[in-house]
Amino acid sequence: MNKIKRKEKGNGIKKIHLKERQKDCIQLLNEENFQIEIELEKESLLEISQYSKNASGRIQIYLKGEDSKIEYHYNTVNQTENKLKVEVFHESPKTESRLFLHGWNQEEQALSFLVNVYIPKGMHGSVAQQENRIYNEKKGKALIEPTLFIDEFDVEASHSSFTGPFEETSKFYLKTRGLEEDQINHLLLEGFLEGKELTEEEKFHFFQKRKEG
Amino acid sequence: MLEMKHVTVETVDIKKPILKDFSLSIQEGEIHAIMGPNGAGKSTLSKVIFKNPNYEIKQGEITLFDQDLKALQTEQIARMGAFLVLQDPPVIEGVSTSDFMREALYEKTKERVNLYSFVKEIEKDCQKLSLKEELLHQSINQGLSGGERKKNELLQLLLLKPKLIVLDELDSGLDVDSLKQVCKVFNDYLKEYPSTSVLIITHYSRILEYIHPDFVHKMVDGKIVQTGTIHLAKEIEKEGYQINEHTKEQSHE
Ligand SMILES: Nc1ncnc2c1ncn2[C@@H]1O[C@H](COP(=O)(O)OP(=O)(O)OP(=O)(O)O)[C@@H](O)[C@H]1O
Ligand SMILES: [Mg+2]
Repeated sequence: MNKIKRKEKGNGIKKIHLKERQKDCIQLLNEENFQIEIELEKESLLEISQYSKNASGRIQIYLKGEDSKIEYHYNTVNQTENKLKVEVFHESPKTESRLFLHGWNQEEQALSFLVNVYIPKGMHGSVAQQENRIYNEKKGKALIEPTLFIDEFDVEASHSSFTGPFEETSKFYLKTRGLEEDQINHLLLEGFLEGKELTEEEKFHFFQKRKEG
Repeated sequence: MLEMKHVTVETVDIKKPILKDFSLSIQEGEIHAIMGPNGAGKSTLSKVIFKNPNYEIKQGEITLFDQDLKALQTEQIARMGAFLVLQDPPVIEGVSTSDFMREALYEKTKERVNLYSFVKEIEKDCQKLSLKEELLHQSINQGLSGGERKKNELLQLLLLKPKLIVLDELDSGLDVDSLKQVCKVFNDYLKEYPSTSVLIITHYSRILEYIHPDFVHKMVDGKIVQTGTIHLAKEIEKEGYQINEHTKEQSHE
């Protein structure tokens, strides 16, 4: 990631449009449902890191111009039932989409990521990459459904998904160095949710568990 | 320091017995080596000492630093001064080595050090082990070779200054020169803290040429079948682990 250029509230409906050769790097924070529509013109580059808490959302990405690129880091903390739907339309050749969707499902609720990527014929030299992970802390439902609709030969597509608890071997290792369960979860989560980019205050807010009562 | 009496251990999931009537006693300042073939239960032994949740102690007694192991948790064992060098240290994505080491150091000293002073302090140890300092800012073990991971373990050891050290296959992943270098760093540590107790777990006697054990134990199928000195290690090196007539009756089936 580049340096964040601006921070915005991510709630509600939002449209982002980058002109030819424009570059932008945005951090979004939201605690309500959202809908984001993104349009990228030729040779533009957009990097987004979004931190979302207890929210469902829909993200539509239109890579309209040749050589337009997007890198999207979505990090969510989930205590209620939520769903994220992402659609990426590669509408020109040599367009690139890289999605990193990470969720921490804290309670016995459902969290799902549905991702559809469309690369029609003629959009040669395009790249579509996804890395989707949900850490399921309790016995909630975690669902990741990536679907690639690719009609073009000359593309580079990859995806990896993971759902489950933190690996026991990692935890054991950190414990043999004297760290406690809570500290370990905190370290692992901060890493997992790319929390380093947040201020201390935001971090506290984002990682704090909901207080009962 | 460590006392194991007639210990039987099985895996929690499939109840497979791995340590069978296993006994071992390590006093302050002693260096013990356990040699055994693949699957003998050596790594299991190391994990049992650190209360890994995958194993259950069914019988026998283990005391560590004069306390009953039953009542201890992994992190407490570590804080009391035990350190385990794992056979295969895992990669932990997203957690930087320096963050994690500073956290571990805080648990030991209860003093927070900032990143700058921390890096300054650890610079020398990195040099001793020919490790690049960049590693401190990367995710734990990510992109490191097998040998570099082992050196990273040593780096943590030097920082935490343990009183009981368990080395599980320290030599695996290390080339000849690196092994010499790592063993030198290790021996220097023992010279500085001579009351440290060590348990070396290994297939090969090679490492014992550099770190000299007071006792060598041969372990087959979950138990120690013979105890001796460095001569036993040489014998094993020559003859392999086949069980001789003397010990046959104690083995399984
Ligand atoms: N959690 C587990 N669940 C099931 N079987 C296990 C488990 N841990 C170890 N085992 C089995 O117990 C036996 C001993 O394993 P262990 O890793 O302790 O051997 P080792 O002596 O360290 O071998 P190596 O020299 O290859 O490192 C092996 O057969 C292994 O497959
Ligand atoms: Mg082993």
